[in-house]
Amino acid sequence: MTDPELTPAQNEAVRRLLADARHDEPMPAEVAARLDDVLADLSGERATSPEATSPEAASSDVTSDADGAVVVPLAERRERKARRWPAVLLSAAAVAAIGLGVTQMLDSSPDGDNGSAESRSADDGAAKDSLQGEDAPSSSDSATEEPPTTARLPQNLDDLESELTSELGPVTFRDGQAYKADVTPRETATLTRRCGPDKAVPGAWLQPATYRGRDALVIFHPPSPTGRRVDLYVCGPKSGRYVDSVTLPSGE
Amino acid sequence: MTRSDHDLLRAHVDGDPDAFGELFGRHRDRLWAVALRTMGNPEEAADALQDGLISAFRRAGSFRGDAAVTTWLHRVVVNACLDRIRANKVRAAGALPDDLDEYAGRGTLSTSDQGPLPEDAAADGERRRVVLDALRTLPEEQRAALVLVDMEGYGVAEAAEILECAVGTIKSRCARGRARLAPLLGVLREPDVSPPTPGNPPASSPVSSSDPPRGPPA
Repeated sequence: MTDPELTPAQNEAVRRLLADARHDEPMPAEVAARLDDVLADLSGERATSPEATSPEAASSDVTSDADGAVVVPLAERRERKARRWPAVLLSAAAVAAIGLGVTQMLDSSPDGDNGSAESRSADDGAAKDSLQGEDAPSSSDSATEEPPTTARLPQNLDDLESELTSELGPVTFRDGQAYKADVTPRETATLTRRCGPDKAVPGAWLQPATYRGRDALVIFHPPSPTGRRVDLYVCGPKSGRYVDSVTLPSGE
Repeated sequence: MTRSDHDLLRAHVDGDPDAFGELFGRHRDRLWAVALRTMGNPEEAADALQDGLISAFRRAGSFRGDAAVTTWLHRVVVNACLDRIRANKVRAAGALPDDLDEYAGRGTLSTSDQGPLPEDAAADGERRRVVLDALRTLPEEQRAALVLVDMEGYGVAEAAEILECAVGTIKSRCARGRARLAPLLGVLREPDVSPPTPGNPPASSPVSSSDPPRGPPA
């Protein structure tokens, strides 16, 4: 279809209507606050990585996201919140993720070269604590007792990852680093401080991850009668920045 | 002493932790307006503006100084908006948005080209809503050009710099965009919708002439 040829008067009429519809209000306070928060994050990031704005790091392409910038997707979030996860899938996925997190932590701890003996021992105890009432035997609180080994299906972690990605955006779990929130190993203390909430969530499991290319932390709360809450934070200079949450059926 | 935009950007690149915030603070309201009108809703606009903010912060070193800083900032934000619009199109091709009801409540122009605007179209809010709905139907490049030129009042040359295309391209996009909007806004059917330059007022009486009527040619 050919667009109509406008007379000068019609052209001006359209222009006038457009001009009348321009936005004259200042930026809303909540948007300004959000952007201030992002700026603070960026400044903190740069303090630890000063090359972030160097010409070498920059490119003439000024589009976003290619540099791993994270954006809290408000609009996407609203769309996603209207959807429901299939309860069975979520339940299985949550259990699998936690189980695998335990497995990975236990597998990595004895051979790891970053953690102290104290932290490994604490981790082991924490693993058992977390398993009580969840998906492992609730048998012991001894830190010296051999932790339970779990035979979880690693591919289920992919399922959870893809479901989280579907709900929250592109979340990618880091391998082998799930740990208990209140017994943070030394090697992950900084990560927890930079990526988690100001106040630790007792009894939660933490899964380091990346979100839209940025370091992030997935926090699995302890199960409650209404389900298990999962929070997503991205890492900031001093503490994590909350992105979004979903509640999974606890499956218990 | 107030630092210029160029000074602030340079200071930011050189490590001044406060310079970028000051620079962005100077222009944020206008950047917000551009993002809002380009995206069509505040949440998408906030996301796009945040995209642009991050991109500008991190890529300040790529600024070559051959344009005004504000032009560069607008370019970054408009590009972020266009990226988001394109990404949304891809997503929309796969699924209907869950907030369709909300958008439906804003009204569409599916019927507006079937008849004139309502009688109360003169009400500013309603007219603005119709304009914004119509604007969303345009291809993103035309929309961006019209937002910059007709809404925000940029000259075509600066709009061309912001959108990184030729002046003629901006003119063409604006002309085609207006032509598409005209029927949606009732301009073609209702010439009295408020053309700002209505031309000569209608004569209240026949124009009299002091000359005597001329006879037929000999």
